[in-house]
Amino acid sequence: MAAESCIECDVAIVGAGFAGALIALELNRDANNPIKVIVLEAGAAVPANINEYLERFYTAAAKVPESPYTPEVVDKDDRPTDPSKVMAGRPTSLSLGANNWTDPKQSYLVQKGPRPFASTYDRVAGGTQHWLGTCLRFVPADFKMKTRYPSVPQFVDWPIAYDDLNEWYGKAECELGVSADLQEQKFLGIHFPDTYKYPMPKIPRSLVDVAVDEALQSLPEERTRFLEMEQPPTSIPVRSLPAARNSQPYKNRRACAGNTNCIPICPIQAKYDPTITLNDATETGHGEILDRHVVREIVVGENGRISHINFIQYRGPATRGCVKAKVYVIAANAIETPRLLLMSNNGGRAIANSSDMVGRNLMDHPYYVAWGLTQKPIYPYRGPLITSGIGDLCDGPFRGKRAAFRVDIGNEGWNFVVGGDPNVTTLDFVNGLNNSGLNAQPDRRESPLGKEALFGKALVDRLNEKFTRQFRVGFLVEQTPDLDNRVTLSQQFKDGLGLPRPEISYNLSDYTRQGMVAAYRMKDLIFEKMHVTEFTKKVAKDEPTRFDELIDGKIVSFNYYGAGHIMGTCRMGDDPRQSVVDKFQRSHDHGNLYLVGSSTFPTGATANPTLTIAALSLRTARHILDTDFRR
Amino acid sequence: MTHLPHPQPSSAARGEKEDEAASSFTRRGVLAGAAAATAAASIGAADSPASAQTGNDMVAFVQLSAALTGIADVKLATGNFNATPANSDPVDIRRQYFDWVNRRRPAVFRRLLQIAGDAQKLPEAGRAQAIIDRVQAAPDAKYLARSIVLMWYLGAWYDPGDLQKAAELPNHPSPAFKVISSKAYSQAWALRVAQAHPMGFSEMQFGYWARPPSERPVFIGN
Repeated sequence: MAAESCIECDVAIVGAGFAGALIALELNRDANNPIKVIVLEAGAAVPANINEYLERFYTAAAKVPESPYTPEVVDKDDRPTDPSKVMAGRPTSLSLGANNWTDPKQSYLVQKGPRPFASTYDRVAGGTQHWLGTCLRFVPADFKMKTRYPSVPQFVDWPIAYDDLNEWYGKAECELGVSADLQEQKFLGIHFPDTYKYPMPKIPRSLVDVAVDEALQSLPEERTRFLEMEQPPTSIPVRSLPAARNSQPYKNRRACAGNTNCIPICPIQAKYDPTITLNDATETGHGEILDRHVVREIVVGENGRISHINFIQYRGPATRGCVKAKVYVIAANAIETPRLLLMSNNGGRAIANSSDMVGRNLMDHPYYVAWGLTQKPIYPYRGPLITSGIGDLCDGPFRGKRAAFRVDIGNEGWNFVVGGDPNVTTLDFVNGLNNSGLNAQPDRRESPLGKEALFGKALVDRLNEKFTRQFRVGFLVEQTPDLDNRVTLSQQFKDGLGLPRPEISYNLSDYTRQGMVAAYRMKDLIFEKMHVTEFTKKVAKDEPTRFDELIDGKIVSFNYYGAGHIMGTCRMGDDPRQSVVDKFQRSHDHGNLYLVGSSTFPTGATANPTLTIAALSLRTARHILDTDFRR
Repeated sequence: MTHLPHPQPSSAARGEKEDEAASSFTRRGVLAGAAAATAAASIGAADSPASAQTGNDMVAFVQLSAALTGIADVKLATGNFNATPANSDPVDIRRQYFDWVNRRRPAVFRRLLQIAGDAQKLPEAGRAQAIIDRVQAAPDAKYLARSIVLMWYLGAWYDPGDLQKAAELPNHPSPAFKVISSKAYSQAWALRVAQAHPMGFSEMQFGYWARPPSERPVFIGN
C-alpha cells in the first residue's frame, strides 16, 4: 500500500482497550490544541447500548467471561468455532480443556506447552468490559525486584519507581472512578500525596469478607511462620479492594446494585469500562474509531521512524488500507502487540526487536482456587463478585525464595469452581447426582450418582442450607519473567484474514510453583480458622494445568486458572539491549512508536495490572504531548 | 431488558435490615400480595385461544409446580392467575413454561396435570406431599417433573430423557441444558432460595450485601 494514499492523522492508536482509550482521550484534553486521533480496533464496534450483550449473557448456557461479547467464537451449541474462520480471533475459556487446548482447530492460540497459557482476551474495546474492576496500586517493592531480591535471577527492575507513578495513579483513579478508603490502602509502603482523596468512598464489605476477617484476627506464630514474613504475623487483615465500581453516582453512571456479575457484564454499568472513555474521546470531535480494522503491518521509513501502518478492514468484503501519522501507539495486548511487531518485517527483523525481547517473558497470575462449606451461613451470591482480599502478604523476605500471592475472597459461592453453580448443585439434588460433591453417598464420595433426589420443601431446605454456606478463596501468584515463556508466530495456522496466529510456549518456574505451595498452606490456615469443610475437587489426571508438589511428606496435585492478566512481552527498561521500550513506553528502536499496556511490565507483581496500565498510559500521553507535539 | 419489571428504588430507610424483596417496593411484591388474597378458580376464556391449555390446566400447572419446587404458588405465578382480566402477572413466565413443556411432552405432562388437578380435592395441608408422592410413584412422570423443577429453579431446560440416563446409568455424562429465555434466566429461583438473586439480575440496592438477607419466606413464600 503506497503511503501517499493513506488515511492521515496525528496519532494512530492500534487497540481500543484501557490503554488505547485513555491515551485517545488524554491527547485531546486541551480543546484549543486539537490532535487528530484515529483508533483502529480489530473487533466489532461498540454497540449503542448493552442490551444485546445482556441478552446473550442471559441465554448462554456456558456463562464464561466472553459469553456476552463474542458470538462468532462459539457455534450454536456453545462449542468453539474453527479459529481459521474467525476474522479477528481470540482465545476462549472453552478451548482450555484436556481434549482441545492443543487443538488449533478449536484454540485460537497455537499452544505448544509444556503447560497451557490459561488466560483469554477479547476484542471489542479490548474485551476489557469483562474485567472485575479491581484497581490496586502496585506496592513500591514490585518495581525493584532485582535490587530487593537479587537471589532470583529472572527478576529485573523497572526503569521507574512507585514515586514516578504516584501522581499518575491518582489521575487514573479519577478517570476510572475508583471507590476505596485511603487509610485502608496504606500497606506495604503504598503512600499517597498529602491532599489526596479517592474519588468515592469504599465499596462495603460482604458478609463473606467479614467471616474471613474475623477468623484471621488472632493467629499463633507457629501457624504463620511458613509465610516467612519479617515477623510471623499474629493477625492478617482483610482489606476492601479499591474498585472502579461506583459507590455513589459518578460521571453519569449509577451506584453498584450488587448484581454479582462484574465478570462478564455489569448490567447497569456501575463498573467502569473503556467504552466510557472511548465515548468521551470521540465526543471531543478529534477522535475517530475504525472498528473491524485489523492492523497487519507496521512499516519503517527513514531514520528508523515508522512511516505508516497497513490494515485489513472487514466491515464488508475485506479490503486493505493504511494510516499515516506522526506518532503510532500500539495498544493491543501482551499477545497481540508482539504478534503485530513480529508480523511486521523490517528487512528480515521484527519491528522494535533489536533486543530480541519482543514476545518473551510472557506472564500471568496463575490462579489457585479452593472451596468448601462454612459451618454457619455466610450468604454468598450477593454483592459485587469480589469486595475484599488479603494484600499484606504480597511482599516480604520470602520473595527471595518463592513467589508472592494475593488472596481474593469470592462472593460468588461455588459459581465457577464447580463448573457453573447454581446449576450444578441444583441438578444434583433434583436428579440425584453428585457433581458438586455435596450430595455424596456414604463412602462413595467420588461417585457421580448422588444420595438424594428431592422435591418440594425438602429440596428448598437442602439447597438453602448448602448455597448459603458455599465459600471459595483464590490466590493470584506472581510469575517470574522467563525468556522461554514466549509468543511467536505460527508458521502453519492462520486466522480468517490469513494472518499468522500467535503460538505460545508457557511454563511455570519452580519459584512460581513454590508460591502456589505457600498459597496451599495459607488455604489450610484460612479453612482451619474459619471451620470450613473443604470440597476442592481432586485434580483430574488429564487436567492440562496439573502439577504435583511434595508438601509435608504428601504429594499434592495442583491446577491453575488464568487470571486474564497478560503481561511482559515488550518489557520496559533503560538498556536497549535488554528491553523493548523506555520508561515512557517508547520503542528504543523507533522514535515515533510507543507500545503501551501490560506488555511493557518488566515484572508482574500480584496486583491486577489495570490501574498500572492506566497510570502508565496517561503518563505516556503526557510525554507524547510534551515531546512529539511540544504542548 | 425492557420487557422485565424494572426494580424501583427502596423506600425504606438506609441502615436497617432492609434488603431485597423484603422492603424494596417492587411491582412483583405488590402483585404477589394481591394474588395471595384470591382463591383458586378457573380463568376460562381469558386464556389464549391458541394454546391447548384451559384455565384449569394453568391452575393445575401452578399447583403442581408449587408442590414440586417448594416455592409458594403466589411467588411462581405473581399476580393472579385466576383473575379477570387475566395476565395481571407482569412477568407471566408460567405461560412460557406451560407451552414449552406442552409442546415437548404433551402426554406425560397431561398425567402430571391430572395428578395436580386431582389433588385439589384434598385438604390444603397435605396437598403438596400428596402430589409429590404420586409423582414419585409414576416412573414415566418423575423425570418430566424433575425437568419442570429445574426449569423453575434455573430458567433452563433439561430433557427428561437425559435426566433419566444421567440418574440411572453409571458414568453417563452430566445432562446438557438450554436456557429457555433471558426472562426465564432472570426469573430463576435457585438463588432466591439461597436468599440472593440470579447472577446479573439484582433487584436490590447499593450496599445490601453488607447486611444479612431477609428471611427465606420473603424470597420464596416458604
